[in-house]
Amino acid sequence: MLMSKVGVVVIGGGPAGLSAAIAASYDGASVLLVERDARLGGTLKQCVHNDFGVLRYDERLAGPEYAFRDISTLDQTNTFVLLQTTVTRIVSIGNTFQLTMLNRHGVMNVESKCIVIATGAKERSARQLSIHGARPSGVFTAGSAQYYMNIMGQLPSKYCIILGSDNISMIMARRLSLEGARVLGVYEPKEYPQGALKNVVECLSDFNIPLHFQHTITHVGGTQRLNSVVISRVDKNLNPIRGSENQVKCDTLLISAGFVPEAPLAESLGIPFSNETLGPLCDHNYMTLLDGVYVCGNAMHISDKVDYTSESGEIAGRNAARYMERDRRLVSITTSKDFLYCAPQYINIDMLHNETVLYFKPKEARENAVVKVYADGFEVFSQEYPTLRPPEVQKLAFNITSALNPDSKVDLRMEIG
Amino acid sequence: MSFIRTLNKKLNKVLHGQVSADEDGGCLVLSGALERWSDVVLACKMAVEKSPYSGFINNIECVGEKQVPIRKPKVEDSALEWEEPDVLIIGGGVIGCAIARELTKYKLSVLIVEKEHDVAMQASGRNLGVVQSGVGLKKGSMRYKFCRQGNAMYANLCSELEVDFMHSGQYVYLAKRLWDSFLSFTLIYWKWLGIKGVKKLGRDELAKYEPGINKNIGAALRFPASGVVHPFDLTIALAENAVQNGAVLSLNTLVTSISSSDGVIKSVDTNRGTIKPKVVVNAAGVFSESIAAMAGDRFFSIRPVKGTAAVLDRKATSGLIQTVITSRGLFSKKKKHCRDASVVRSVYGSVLIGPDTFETMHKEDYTTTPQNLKDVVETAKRTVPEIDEGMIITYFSGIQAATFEDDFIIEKGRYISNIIHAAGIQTPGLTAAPAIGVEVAKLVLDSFGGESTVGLNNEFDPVRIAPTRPSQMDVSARAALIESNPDYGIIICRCEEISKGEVIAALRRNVRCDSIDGVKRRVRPGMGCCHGSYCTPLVLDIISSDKRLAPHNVRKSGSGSEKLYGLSKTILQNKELSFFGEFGKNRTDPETAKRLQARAIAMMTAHSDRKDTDINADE
Repeated sequence: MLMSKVGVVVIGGGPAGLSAAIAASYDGASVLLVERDARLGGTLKQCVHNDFGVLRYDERLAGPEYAFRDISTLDQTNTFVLLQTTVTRIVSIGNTFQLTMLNRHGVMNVESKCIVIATGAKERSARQLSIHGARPSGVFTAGSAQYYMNIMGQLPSKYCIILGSDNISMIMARRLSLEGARVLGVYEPKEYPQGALKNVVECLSDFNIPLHFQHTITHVGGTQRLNSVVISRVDKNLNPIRGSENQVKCDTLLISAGFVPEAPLAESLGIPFSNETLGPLCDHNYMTLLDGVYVCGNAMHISDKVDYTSESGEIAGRNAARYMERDRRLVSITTSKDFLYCAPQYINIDMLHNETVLYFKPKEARENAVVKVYADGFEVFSQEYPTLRPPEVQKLAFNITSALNPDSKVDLRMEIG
Repeated sequence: MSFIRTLNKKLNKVLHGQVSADEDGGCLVLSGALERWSDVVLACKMAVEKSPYSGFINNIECVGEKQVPIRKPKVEDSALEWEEPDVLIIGGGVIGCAIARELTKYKLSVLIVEKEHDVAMQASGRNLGVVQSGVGLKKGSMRYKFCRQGNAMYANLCSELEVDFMHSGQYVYLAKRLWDSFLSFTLIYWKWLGIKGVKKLGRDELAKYEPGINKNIGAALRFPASGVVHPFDLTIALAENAVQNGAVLSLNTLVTSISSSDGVIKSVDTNRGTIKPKVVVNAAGVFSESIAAMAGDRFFSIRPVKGTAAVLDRKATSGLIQTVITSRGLFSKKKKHCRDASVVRSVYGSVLIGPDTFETMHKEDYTTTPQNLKDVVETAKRTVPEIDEGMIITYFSGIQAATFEDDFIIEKGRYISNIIHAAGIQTPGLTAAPAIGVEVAKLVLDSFGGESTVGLNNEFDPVRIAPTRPSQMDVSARAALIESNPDYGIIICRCEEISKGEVIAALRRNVRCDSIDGVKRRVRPGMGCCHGSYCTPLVLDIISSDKRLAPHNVRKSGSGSEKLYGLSKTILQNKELSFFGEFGKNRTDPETAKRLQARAIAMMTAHSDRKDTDINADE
């Protein structure tokens, strides 16, 4: 059994993990990057559309291309990479963490004082949405359908209905159409699309795929393969309206009900989670409430832009490399009710020299909004946003120069300009 | 004849002459036509009440609802043509498999036919897995007898078969709290029944053992003999042990007709050839009545009872409950048909809640409805208030093959000499299965002239080796295992920590398994909180390469449940991937963006008014 000590262990080799590993080794740490799949890149590997890197590279790259840039950078560093390796257990012993890992060579134990959790997200499934019926084959989450199509080169559907209108479901509508399936319609329970308007045009209207709002799927028909779905209108509270059911024949139901941060390792360490982001709570260095454990990317909160995911990885990686044991004094960031959430949720007042990079989701669509940061009632920073749309994540980067004490209050407010 | 006359009068009064009763060969027969299934059940229940006849046949046609035809396997071949087993067992549920295992202890050739692609596909795999101690069963009934006998056999059986069995005990409380004080008096009753160790617990004691229990529950009884087992595991283990000892299991095999003459079954036709068994065992669950009818030995009728249950996340429910808590009489309208609802900590740590109960005429309708699920959660909340819908990982429904008399039928054929029925198996069928196995084996042996003529199978090995579970091993054993087979080091399901090696091993065991659900039932990838969104494609890939099947031939469960449709266009035509519709590549300039946005909004408003029927217009 292998035993070794490492400066920083990065768990997850997707965009966040790659950036974290690069940043940490640029900062001089000895880094171990652990990835469960046989290749680095995470979900980017299966995202063959070119929607990546507009902010970071000012280019539109395909997912694998985007990942390739980070992977080539990583190759220049001294990072040690373990592929097809799963971290099964983390225990904290004193001020170090002992990680148990598993791969085809056996069981390894690695000790480290510092961990970056970049384990990404998982999809919500049909069961969580209360879709009833027998359990026929032919119900896919958008992500697994994407895997079948783009990684395995297999077509999962011929006549397809899609539930949910976030980016991945619209992109899948386009991919399915291009690969020989017919997408009969995209149904969205809410009144507006959950993904970018650009995708509504590029992925749906360009392919004559109808998009229906205020509809949901309530039942799937068929016992072996799905043969129909029942579509119902929904009321304001997203409850199906009785009597509005309509059965549509199809062979596949693609579900895209959004993502949830997946950080079971953080959970096993007893790290507190946020009820809003559903990821671990963290301070502005992206350290969770357990000293030495950092979080970034979609494990922290669900972001619709890979650029932000990479950026958060970079910040977490850099801070992890500079990690030193010392007391933290945290001040929580409160948000007004215009916000759905913000991440990170705390500011470490002992490290105010570090810039705070904060991501937030607005609650409602807004035009010309100004987001202001107040510290103890004084405005310390403000930024204008020409448009805010609820599913889209926005970024806010600021420095608080005034000294804060543990009783200070930091809050985020939104004003309409 | 007077019973039939009074019954006819009663039926006339309630159902206005649409149903009439008669006697045929010692059985009470109801015939006629009714609109609703609930009326059919009502008529039949009226008929069996105090019936002096030992059989009951329901011939009432339910005209209001169409019976869904039986789910048939797609295979047509002659794999079983001219097979002449000593014993043919129809049905690969827990009962059929328990009987098969018991019979392999003797020098008999045993063939099990199951119409589904795997064992434990129906009632056996669709229940909460509670091993009951006999609560609520009438002394003297078959259900009571076999439940008690079966319960006593469990610990030993499960250790032989290496199946997880937790003797966790069961708390039973009364849904109607008025009767709480009455509970102490029932202790004498349990003693009289022979159920040992029953104790009454007060509120505080309950809270000590089960911290999550509703604080309003003042008292409950503890039945230490109850426990939990995983129903698939047990049935699969029984089947594997039977096959290991020489039984033959033929899956995807449906009995289509039985020909008998002079009161003896001569041959049994299936979709895989004609079999000529010496003895037939009818363990066909909800279809046992059809098998009896085919054989010409019908003297009972099946009343399918459907229930829905939900599985709750292990993590979310940790600490809430440890054992089994059952509330009595929640659904009871009449005392006679009172049903229990339970909250069960399963052997794998997840919590099961349910079931609700209702009558249905459909024998294989496993659909669930939002209402079912809501009822199940509401009921469970009364027992453990902290349970909520957000904890649900998945839900399922099952159908029990009860009879109208509400008792098991375990006996030799009445008109046919070489058939043995193990029918009408409802709760506690899982508990009773081992005992039913022994009883039916005895009946089979009798028809061959007793144990001495048949002889013991000296090579019988009662031990079945369970699949390796590396996640339960200590580190050094696990490391050694990985060294011997690196596949055990590749984790494909993080939720349940399952390796590629375990999946491959499951595919190569002696009971055929080649479907994604089959793998899921054996080694649990996809049973966790992520619902297999990560591991399902990986499992599909492993099945595809291990079984040498094209990915589009790998099935989720039975025939017709393939997940994929073959190669995608890009791969087929060897093209470069294309991502774009009618427009060109980059459109990031602000002018275009604005135009696109306007178009998007126009399109959104247009489509939201559109009727759903449009999308199907030209299909």
